[in-house]
Amino acid sequence: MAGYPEKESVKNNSNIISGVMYFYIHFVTEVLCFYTLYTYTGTRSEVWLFFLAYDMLAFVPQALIGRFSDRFPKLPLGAAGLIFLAAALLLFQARAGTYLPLTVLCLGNCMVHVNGAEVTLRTSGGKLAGSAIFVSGGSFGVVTGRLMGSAGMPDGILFVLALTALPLTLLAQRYILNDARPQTEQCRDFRYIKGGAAKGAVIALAVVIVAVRGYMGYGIPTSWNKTLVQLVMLFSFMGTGKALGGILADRFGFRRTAMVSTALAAPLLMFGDNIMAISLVGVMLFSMTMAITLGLIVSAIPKTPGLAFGWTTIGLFMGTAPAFFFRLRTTAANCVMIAALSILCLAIMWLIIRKDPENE
Amino acid sequence: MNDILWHLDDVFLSMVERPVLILGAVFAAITAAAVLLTVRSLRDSDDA
Repeated sequence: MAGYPEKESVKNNSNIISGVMYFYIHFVTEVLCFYTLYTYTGTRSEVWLFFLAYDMLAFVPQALIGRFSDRFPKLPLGAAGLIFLAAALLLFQARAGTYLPLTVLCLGNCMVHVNGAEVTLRTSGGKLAGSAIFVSGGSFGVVTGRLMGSAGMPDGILFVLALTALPLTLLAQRYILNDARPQTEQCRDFRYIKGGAAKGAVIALAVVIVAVRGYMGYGIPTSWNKTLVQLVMLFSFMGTGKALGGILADRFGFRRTAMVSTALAAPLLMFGDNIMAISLVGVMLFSMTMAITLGLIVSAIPKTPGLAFGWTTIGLFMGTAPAFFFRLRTTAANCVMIAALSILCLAIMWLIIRKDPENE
Repeated sequence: MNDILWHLDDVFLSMVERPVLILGAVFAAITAAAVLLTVRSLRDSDDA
């Protein structure tokens, strides 16, 4: 086991610094994507199809691009992704159809996400805070992009934002370039699954938990969510929960954080339909499972963190796609669904997550 | 050029009765490829 400075990244905080840098890059990426979606699709009749295609093309290919990035982790995919995003915006401005610019936009989104995952996971030393902070930036970006698109902001601002993120992607990439360890060893400290658990099954079950989180994001009853400020609050709590999941898992234990946050979230989500404060805390707690599922999948395939991250986004699409076709209309049905899915997630976590070491 | 691209949009939306089916097929193909890559990655981990 000796020979590599495996905890170096934790000692010099590069795991947190790369996470914070990618928080901003991820924020900018989602602002660009959602600004574009809301600016250039608002009046089209097939807008729902456009959003479904966006979800599919932005989420699912991350597994393949992730595997490609695992093979060549030193490629500056983040910078390339930002250039793709800017190019997509130009194509939309030039009225070059819909689905070509959309595909370019989604590919750019994929590249930035995969690079963020590669950088934050490979520099993490087996900790989750960096990746969790990176992922949380997306929630803030989604709501900001929606607001900017709906408000009719000029496109020029988006190009400036992309430019501000570009040097950060190159800087974050330095952490991988400077790492002396073989690339297949950089995530070997992720050991969150029970010994003896079938790793293929662990991946499948973790994807189920991600899909549940994706479904909950659309399906939870939030009658209180009527104003702009409330919408911003909802996304902000979601983002904060994602970041806290990783931070608390590192501090208090992976299994403890997973089980406690999911168990506490269920009743708050069920009974927070009309009470914003209760609902928001529930959303925040349930969002903590993001870091947990990522940690589980990376533990199963530590040599390919990009592919592992891609499985979380496939799960997210599997959870959100049904919302395009049907929704539970009554509060009672939603409550039953939330309770059933939460119990399912708890059971899965109990089955596959190893016990926390005593000193955590 | 733009006309051609818009035409392709129309082709996508009109000739294919349910574009959702295309998206579903793309999803299935990518997921199947991801499964194969994951199996290989799991084998690599076991060999190490």
